[in-house]
Amino acid sequence: MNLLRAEFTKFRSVPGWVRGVVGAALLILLFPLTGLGGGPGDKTSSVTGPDGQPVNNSYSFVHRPLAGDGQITVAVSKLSSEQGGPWAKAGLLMRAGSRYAAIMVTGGHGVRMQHDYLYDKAGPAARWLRLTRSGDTVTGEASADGARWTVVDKVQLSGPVQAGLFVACPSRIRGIGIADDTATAVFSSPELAGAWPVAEWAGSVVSSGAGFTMTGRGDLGPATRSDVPVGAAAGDLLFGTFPALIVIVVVGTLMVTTEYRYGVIRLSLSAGTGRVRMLLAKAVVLAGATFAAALIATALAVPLWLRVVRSLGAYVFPAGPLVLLRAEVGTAAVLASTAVLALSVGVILRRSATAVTTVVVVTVLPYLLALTPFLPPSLAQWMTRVTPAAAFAVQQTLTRYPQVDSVYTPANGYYPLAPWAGLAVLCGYTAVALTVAAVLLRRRDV
Amino acid sequence: MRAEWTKLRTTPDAAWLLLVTVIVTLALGAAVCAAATTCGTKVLLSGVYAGQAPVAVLGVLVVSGEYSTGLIHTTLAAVPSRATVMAAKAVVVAVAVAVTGTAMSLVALAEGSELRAAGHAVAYLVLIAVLSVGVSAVVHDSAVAIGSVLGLLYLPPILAPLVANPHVVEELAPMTAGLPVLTAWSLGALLVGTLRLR
Repeated sequence: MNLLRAEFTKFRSVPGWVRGVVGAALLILLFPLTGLGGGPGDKTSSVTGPDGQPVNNSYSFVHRPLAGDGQITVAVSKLSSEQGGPWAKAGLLMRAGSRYAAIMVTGGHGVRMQHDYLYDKAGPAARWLRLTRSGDTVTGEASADGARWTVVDKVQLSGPVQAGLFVACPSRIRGIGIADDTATAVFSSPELAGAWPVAEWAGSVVSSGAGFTMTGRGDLGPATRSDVPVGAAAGDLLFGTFPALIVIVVVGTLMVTTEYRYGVIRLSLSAGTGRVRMLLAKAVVLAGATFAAALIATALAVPLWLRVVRSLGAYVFPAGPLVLLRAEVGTAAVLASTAVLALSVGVILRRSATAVTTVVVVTVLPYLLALTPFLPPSLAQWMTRVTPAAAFAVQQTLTRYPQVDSVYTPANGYYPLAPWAGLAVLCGYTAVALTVAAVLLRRRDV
Repeated sequence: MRAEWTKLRTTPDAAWLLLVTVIVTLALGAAVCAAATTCGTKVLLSGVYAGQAPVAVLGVLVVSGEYSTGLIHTTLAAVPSRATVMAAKAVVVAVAVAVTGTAMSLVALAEGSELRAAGHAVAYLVLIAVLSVGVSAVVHDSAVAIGSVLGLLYLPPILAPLVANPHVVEELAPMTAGLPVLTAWSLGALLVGTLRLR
């Protein structure tokens, strides 16, 4: 305890270090100012789904109204697309306002039942599809032969619906490039049962003989970052983390290299009760001060800037309070862990300049490289998977959907690792560096 | 000038840093080459993204190393003209980096014959070294100096997409703008550093 107090007094009494930590916190808090005053509020015309998420909502639909109970059955005899998109979709759709239920055959992912943009469930290999509405429940079934049926999912959908055949085909993703795609589907003549009012099929219908042949493009699903070009992610508001990180690295390194430079280290070691305990005391003080200052900054910055940015009319992807809390706490933890990494590397190298450079190069540079366009996507993913830069995954506030192919790169705000797993990678590096520093400190003659 | 050269030559760190520059640059370049479909001199030399860091350390240490040991007092007593000292340091570091950079580029030229790209990389590294010398004379402390230099290099490309006018940032930042802008940065830093020494 005395050791902790001694280290804290040292830390507190060097004005440069305190200024560094406070400055880092201010950088996080105030940096988004540089993003303001730019373009006029870009109100996107983005369509939102029932949960308030931005969605893609363009597809070909041949439909007729259905007010009560009813059933529609169809066989998809052929589905192909120009680019061979794995998520080309052809099937049955019932929609009421912004809510819908659909069962479909896809280009490369078998039969799926999807509803309300966000939800997706896989079905058996099949060619025949059926949607049955009974009361407020829509049941999706699939069959290989039109005789034996398997239930894929049951979905709640109330009110009068438009029901019929749909075809959609999202753009094909190749690396970080996007190619427009169009799908063509051949359906059998749909079989109707139940309380269908007398009406003609409406919509973009191309009839050929007994069935329907339809083409379609676009998608029916959640929008991702690359679909909403002017949209921001809440995690973007923490971009002051990077300058703050460099400041913290300098402070963390100086906390030990200064002792070497002025020989205070000898005094500390002769007064202290063991070298490793002194190192741990330093690490605890540094991590604690950094975490506290950074957490105050992030906890203030995110709500404040979210409100400012939204009031300016810019679109921000919705993120739940728990996700935002994770980004705030996680960012503070990233800074604290990096500070201890810098402290450990400082003990190992005993030189400020080389220590600072090493830590900055292993934390900031991989992230920068992952953003640069010349780097192949595979290497970019790798850079944010195995280096300490993986920890920036805690700032991901966008959701990655398995049923949507998109450009899921760090540059777009999607990281390859789960948030806490990314932080664990950084903490692993820190733990190894701290251990090496402790061993060297014990073995070396100061 | 000879005194500065002797100082640089007799510090084991300098040779190590230059060696690390070559290794890091070529290693990162090779990694990019392995993952990319095409590989040439230019791709191989994209490794300077990482390789510039040890060069910056070298530039910083040449000045701030003297501050931490107090040698700067001796140096300035022997050569009272601050401008001469700074110029000598800058020239010596520039020549050392240029020689290393040329050797590195010769290796990279084995992958293709883009002389322009090779010359560009050498000039870039030299200017980064001079920039570091200048910055380090401004702030004196090596940790703060290297933090400033690396921040100046690495932060603008990360932050540019998020600020209001990305192009203005990219055209002014030392790493993404062209060599003329970088030259202005380097000479500016050197000038301010010389004035600060006075």
